Amino acid sequence: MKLNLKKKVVFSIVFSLSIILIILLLSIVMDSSKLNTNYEIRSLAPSFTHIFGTDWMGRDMLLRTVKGLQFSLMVGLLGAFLGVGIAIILGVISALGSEKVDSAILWTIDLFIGMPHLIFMILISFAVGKGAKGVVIATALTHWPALARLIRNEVLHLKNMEYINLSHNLGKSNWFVVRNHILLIIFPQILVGFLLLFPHVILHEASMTFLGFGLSAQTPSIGIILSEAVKHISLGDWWLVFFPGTSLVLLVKSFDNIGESLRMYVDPQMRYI
Amino acid sequence: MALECKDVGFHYNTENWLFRNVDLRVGKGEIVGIIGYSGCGKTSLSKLLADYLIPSEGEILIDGEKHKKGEFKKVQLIYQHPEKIMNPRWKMKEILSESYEPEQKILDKFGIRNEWFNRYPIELSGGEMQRFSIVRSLNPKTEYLIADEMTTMLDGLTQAFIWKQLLEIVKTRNIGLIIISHEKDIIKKLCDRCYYMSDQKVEEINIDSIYFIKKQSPRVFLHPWVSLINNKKF
Amino acid sequence: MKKEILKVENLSISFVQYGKKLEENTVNPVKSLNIEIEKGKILAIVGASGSGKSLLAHAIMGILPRNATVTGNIFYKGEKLDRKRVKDLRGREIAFIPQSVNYLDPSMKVKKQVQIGLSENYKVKYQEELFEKYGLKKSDGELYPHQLSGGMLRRVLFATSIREGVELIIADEPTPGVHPEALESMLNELRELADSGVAVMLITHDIFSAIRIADYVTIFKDGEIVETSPSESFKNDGEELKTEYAKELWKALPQNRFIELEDFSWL
Repeated sequence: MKLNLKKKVVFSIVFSLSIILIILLLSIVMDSSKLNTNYEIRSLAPSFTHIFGTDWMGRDMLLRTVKGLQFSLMVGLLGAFLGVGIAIILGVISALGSEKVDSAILWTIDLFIGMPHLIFMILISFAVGKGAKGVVIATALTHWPALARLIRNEVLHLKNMEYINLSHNLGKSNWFVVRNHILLIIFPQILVGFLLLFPHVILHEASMTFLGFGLSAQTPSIGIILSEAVKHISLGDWWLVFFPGTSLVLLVKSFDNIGESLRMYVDPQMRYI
Repeated sequence: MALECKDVGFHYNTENWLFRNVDLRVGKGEIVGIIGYSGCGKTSLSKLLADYLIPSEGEILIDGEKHKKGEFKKVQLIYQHPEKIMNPRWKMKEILSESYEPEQKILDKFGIRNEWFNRYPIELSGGEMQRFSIVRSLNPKTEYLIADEMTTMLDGLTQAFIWKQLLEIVKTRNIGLIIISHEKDIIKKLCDRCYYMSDQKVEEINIDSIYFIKKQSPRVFLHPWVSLINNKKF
Repeated sequence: MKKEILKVENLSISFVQYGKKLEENTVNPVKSLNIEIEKGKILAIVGASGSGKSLLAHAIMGILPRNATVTGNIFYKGEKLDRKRVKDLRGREIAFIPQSVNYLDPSMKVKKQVQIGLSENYKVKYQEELFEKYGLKKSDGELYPHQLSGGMLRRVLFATSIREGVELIIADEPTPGVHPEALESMLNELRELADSGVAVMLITHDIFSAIRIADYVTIFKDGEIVETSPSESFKNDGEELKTEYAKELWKALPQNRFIELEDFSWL
């Protein structure tokens, strides 16, 4: 069967969405008593009762992974949401504001892009107080610049469109134009930007927690699971790294996939292929 | 009561004036033509009149006053390409109501069908879109209209139909209309007076002498064909 | 025997587009079209913008976008004209004068653009000859289109379009509103070319310039031919025209009855 591009896009979105949904569903449905320490079943290889195996304290790795991913999703959602918010506000102001405002914002964007991400995030998360809050704020504050620049360029292009000029000449306010014309047109780009921020934020969250910044050891997080597992990998307990790691990659790839597919779908040049 | 250009000049860069010392006037209820050919700057002039561009020198007065910022402009412009002045993601009914809610009477006059309201601009033909763009510009507050090559892209029948309907409305509402076109016959048949635009200036000419415009303007954009013609060696 | 240079038989062009939902829909901007152009004749194709007339030219020249599907046959001097053959003839026997100078490649030196379509062996020599013929210096060939003045640019475009031995010219209309004098001389030149034995297809939206030089005029509407009539039939109230639509269209022109027309039921 020959799939047309649009069907392929929809198919891959459905596939990726279902992976995300399965994670969310499992984290709600599964019995959280399996997280209790139980030394009788410690360090078991994967089996039917413990599909991902158990760790050195007898905790079910599947449940830990799922809880960790759920946390990643939440941090990702919040981080991406805040990041996109900042990007929209700064991008639109930069494009529509005076020259001074524009160059100030551009300078800030360059500053943020020039700085090494991870170090910057660690600094921010320290500054605002560690923990989940620190991670969310740090990721949100570091991921907006590229999108802000994209939005700025898009709005700069749009603001000279004839229908925007006409709207002004019909007596409409700047606010009306931004809300009803500009945001409507750039919404697809914003959505794609949002989805593509997600995997970034999740990966950075995992690396921060892996390095031991941000979260306490009790919080279920893929980064922490992996950093703990590193200590046990020499014992041959491969499942401690393999399953959580693969799941993280799968989750990240799913979001990336949705974002990329939608981008193709939104891109007007792709529509006729 | 008139829309006036007083000594208006316009340039994108200072060495290259598109036109200078333009004086023109259209009174309420008057129909005035501007004839000019591609590249003579007539689109820039129409944008100046409707306050899309600011004159580099001179002033444009509407009933003795300048354009006011942030208000509905009493001078509205109808473009050659209606698709450019419609947000592609808006439905036609939203596009119309951005200006005002037109009465059924005026919709019927231009043959706008109700089923078009729920379509997007891209789903309409050029002629159908242009009717919407005209109705939208006929806001009750509109006092002057500028039609810049309004029907150039349309077929002959739609062209005649649109002009006929628009003229009736312009007459009953006492609107001042400027028709900008390269077609002598449109200007001749519709206008009371007429200006000729070329060589960076605008001059009033006798409307009966319109068919004698011959002088080649040096600023005219020559199509590649022209070289074909100028080359007698072929 | 009639000697037709170009014959288009039952030509349809369709594009696949993606609709709002998942299905693909096909748009059909040109529908089962038949035209013939004889040696030394001018056929004008007249239609509003968006009626598909430019697509016809692009189909003949084999420069439609890839997602276009073309059915039907195009014959050039009795032989089938496919993409490969037209590529071979383009720039030699068949000349295409496009709508705008945008057809020049901004990133390619002009001498290279003139060499396109010339045979490998003598292309440099022939390009130099063409340059000399059209009053361009040898050093101009090293420039890019944006470095040339408007006049030189047009000479280059001319050099890329029309050469000796041309037998068919397909001319897509210039921007509406070209100065009448320029238009006039352009039309005259096309007529002269036709009189010297070239077949010309003139695509325009201006019926009046069409009937002045063309032998036949084809009225095009929504991708279909309404009628093809000799230019002489377009006069008075259009009594000699075959279809009602063409009659009404003729009467509606600004030069004719224009807004005095009463009946617009054709819209």
